[in-house]
Amino acid sequence: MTNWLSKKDEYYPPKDRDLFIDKSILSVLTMMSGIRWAGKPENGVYYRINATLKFIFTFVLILLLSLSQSFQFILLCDCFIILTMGMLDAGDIKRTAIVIFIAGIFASLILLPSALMGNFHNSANLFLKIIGNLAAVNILANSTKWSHLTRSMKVIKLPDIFILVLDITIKYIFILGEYSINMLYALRLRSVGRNDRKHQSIPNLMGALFLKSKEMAELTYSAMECRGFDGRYLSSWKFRMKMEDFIYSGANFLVIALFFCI
Amino acid sequence: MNNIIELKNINYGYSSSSALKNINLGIEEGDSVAIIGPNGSGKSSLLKLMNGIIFPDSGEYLFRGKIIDSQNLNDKTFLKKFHKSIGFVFQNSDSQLFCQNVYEEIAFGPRQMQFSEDEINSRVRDCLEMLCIDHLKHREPYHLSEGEKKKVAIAAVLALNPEVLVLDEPMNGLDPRIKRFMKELLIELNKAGKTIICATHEFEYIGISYYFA
Amino acid sequence: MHIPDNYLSPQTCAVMGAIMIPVWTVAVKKVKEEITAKKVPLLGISAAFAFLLMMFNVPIPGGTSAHAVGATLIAILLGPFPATIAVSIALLIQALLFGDGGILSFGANCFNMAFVIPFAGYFIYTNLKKIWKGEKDEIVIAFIAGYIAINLAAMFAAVEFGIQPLLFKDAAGLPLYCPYGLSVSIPAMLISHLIAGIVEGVVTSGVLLYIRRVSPEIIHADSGKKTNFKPMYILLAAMIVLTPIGLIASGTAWGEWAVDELKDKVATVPANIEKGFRLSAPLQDYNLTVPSLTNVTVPSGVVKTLNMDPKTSLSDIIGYLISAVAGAALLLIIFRILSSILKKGKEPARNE
Repeated sequence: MTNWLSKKDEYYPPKDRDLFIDKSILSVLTMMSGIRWAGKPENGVYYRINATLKFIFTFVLILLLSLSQSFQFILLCDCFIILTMGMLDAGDIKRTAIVIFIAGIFASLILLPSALMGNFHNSANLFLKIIGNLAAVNILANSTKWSHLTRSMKVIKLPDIFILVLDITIKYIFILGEYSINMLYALRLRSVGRNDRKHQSIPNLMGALFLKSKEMAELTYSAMECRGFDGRYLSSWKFRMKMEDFIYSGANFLVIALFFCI
Repeated sequence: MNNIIELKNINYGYSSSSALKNINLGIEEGDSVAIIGPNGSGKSSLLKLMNGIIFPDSGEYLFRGKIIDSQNLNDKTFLKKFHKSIGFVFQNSDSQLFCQNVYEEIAFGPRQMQFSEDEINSRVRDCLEMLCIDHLKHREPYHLSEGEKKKVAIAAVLALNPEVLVLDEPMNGLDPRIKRFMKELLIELNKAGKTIICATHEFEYIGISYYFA
Repeated sequence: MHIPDNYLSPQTCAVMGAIMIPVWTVAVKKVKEEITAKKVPLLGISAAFAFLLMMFNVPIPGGTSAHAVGATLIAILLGPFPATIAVSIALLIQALLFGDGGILSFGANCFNMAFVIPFAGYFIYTNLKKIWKGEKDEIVIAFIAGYIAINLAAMFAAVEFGIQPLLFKDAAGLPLYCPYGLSVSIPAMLISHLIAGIVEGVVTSGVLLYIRRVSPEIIHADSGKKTNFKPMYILLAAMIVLTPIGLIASGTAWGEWAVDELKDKVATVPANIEKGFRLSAPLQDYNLTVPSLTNVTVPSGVVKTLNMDPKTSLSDIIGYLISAVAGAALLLIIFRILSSILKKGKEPARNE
C-alpha cells in the first residue's frame, strides 16, 4: 500500500464558490417532486373531475381572462379560480399559493413604473390576469395525473403517437432526472477544494447525460420492437360524466356566459 | 469509545414509509463494517446520510464528534473538509464518472486540493497502479466495462485520501475475478488504517456486520 | 427567456401559434423521413434531455451562474428539426404539467426557443465551420453559435413585447398588455441576455467539447449529412424582416386604434402614419424617452394620462431593423475579440 494512503492529511480547504451545484440539485429535485404520479384516495372531489373537462375549461378560462378588459369580470374570474383552489389538498394549496405569491411580486415590480405613470387601471387588470392565469394552470397541474392530462390532449386532435411521445418524455424526465441528481451528488462529494475549471463541470455532466439518453433511447427502441411495436399506438380514453363533472361544467359555463355580459 | 461515526436515534422517512427508524450506531476508526439487509431496507439512505447528502428528520449524526447537519455544512470550509474525510462510491458507477478521460477523473480531487502538477501526476499514477488500470488512463470512462468503471470510481475517490471509505453495493455486476480483487483491495485499505463501510450482500471480508430489516 | 401569459395579447399569441403550425408540420415530416415511424416515440427522450438541460445552474467565468436553454446544442447534436420538436415538447410539458404558465404564449415561446435558436444556431455553426476549419476553432464556433442564437431569440421576444403598447390599447390610448415599447424592451432584453448568452455559449461549446472527446461520431452537425434546410432559413430570414411589419398589419385589424382619437393625443404619430414610413435615427429609439403628461378627454371626464413613448411610430420599426443589423455586426466584432481571449484560456485537458 502506497505511503500517502496510510497517512492522515492535514487539509485546509481553499475557498471557492460552488453554489451552482446545490442550485442545480435543488432545481432538479423540486421539479421531480412536482410530477403528479397517482391520485391518492384521500384527495378531494376536485381531483376526480374528468381531466379533459379540466383541460378544456382551464384553457377557455385563461383565454377569456386574457381577452377581457372588464375589471369586474377579471375579478370574478379570479375569485372563481381561487374558489377552485380551495378545493385542493392543503399541500397543493400551499404549493400553488407560493407560486402565485412569487409571480405576483415579480409582476408588481415589472408593472409598477407603468402604473405609477398613469396606467394604473390596465396595470391592475394585468396583475389580476397574471395571478388568475398562474393559479388556474397550477390547479390543473396539481389536481391531475399526468397520464390523464396527456391523454386529454386527444381532444385537440393530437394523434395517438404524440400522446405516446409525451408519456415517454415524462417518464424519462424522471429517470434522467434521478441520474442527473446522482451525478450532481457525485460532483458535490468530490468538490473538496477549488475547482479551476468549474465552467466545464456542468457541461461535462450534461454531456454524460446526453450519452446516457442516447443509450437509453436505443435500449427502449429495442424493447419496444421486441414487444411488437410497429409505429401504431392506440390510447383509449373513456369519457363518462359523473355528478361532479356536471357541476364543474355548469359552474364554468356560468363564468363563460358572464364574460359576454359584464 | 473513540467513534469516528456516531448515529444517535436517527429517523428518516419518505412521506408514507419510514426508511430509517431509531438507528443507533457507533463505528470506530479502523473498523470494517458491512451493512446488510434486503432491498428497500434503507441501506442506501443510511449511506447517503453518512455522507451528508440527506439529513435525518430527527436524531444526531456525529462525525469525529462534530454534528453533521445542514446548518454546519453551510460552512463551506467545514463542508469540503468533511467530503475529503469521507469518500463515497455509488452503486451506479455511470453517474459517478463525469470527466473526459480516466486520468482527469482521478486527477479531479487532487486538482481541487491545489496539488502541483507533479503531485497530481504522482497521486494519479499511484491510484492507477493500485487498481491495475494504468492502461486505461487515456480512455473515456463512458466506454469502459462495468468492472473497469467501478475501479475508476474507486480510484477517483481514493485519490482524495479519505479516512473513511463508504461503498454502496460495490460487488454488484462484477465478475468473480474482479470481486476477488476488490475484496483484497478493501482488506488492504483497512489494514492501512482506513475505516471501511459497505452496503453489501457479500461480506466474507468484513469484520463487523450490522443487519438492517 | 420564457414569456409568461398576459404580457402578449391573445391576438399576438394566436399569430405566433399560427406561424409555428407549418414549422411543426415540416419538422415532423422531416424527422419521420430520417427515422422510421417506429422510432418517433424516442423523440420523447430527446425532449426529456432538452427539459433537463434547462434545470442546470451553469457557472461562467466571472463568478455568476445562470440557466441555459440549450437549443443550439441540441440542434448541433441531433439536427435542427429534431431539436425543434424536442424543445417544443419540453416547453409544453413545462407549461402544462409543471404549472409554469405560458399556455397562451406557447406559440411565441416555441417560435423563439424551438425555432429561432436551433435554426439560427445550426446555421451559424455549420457555416462558420466552413470558414474556420481548425480543430481548436470548434470551441469558439460553438460558443458564438450559441451566443448569437439566443440573442437573436431575445430580439424576437423583445419585438413581441415591444409592439404590444403599439397595437393593443384601450380607448384612452393606454397599453393593455406589456406596457413597455420597443425602446424599452429591446435594450432590456439585449442587456439581460448578455450574461445569458455567455451561459448558452459555455454550455454549447462545453458539452460539444466533452462529446467530441468521448463519442464524436454521434454529433449530427459533424456527420456531413446533407438535408435541405434552405426553406427554413429563408423562412427565418423572412421572419426577421417581416415579423414587426406582419404583427402590426394584423394588429391594426384588431387593435382598438382610431387614428382620429390619436390625433388628439399625440402630436407626431398621426403625421407619420399619414405620410408613411420615415427613416429615423436608429439610436434615438434606444433612448428611454420620458413620456409627457397630457390632459385627455374620455367619455367619463378629463383624465390625466401619459403618452407612452410619444415618439413611437412605425418609423421605429425601420429603426429596429437597422439597429438589428448593426447590432448583429457589433456582436460579431465583439466575438472575434472574445474568441481570441477564449483561445488562450481553453487549453486541452492535460494528458499524461
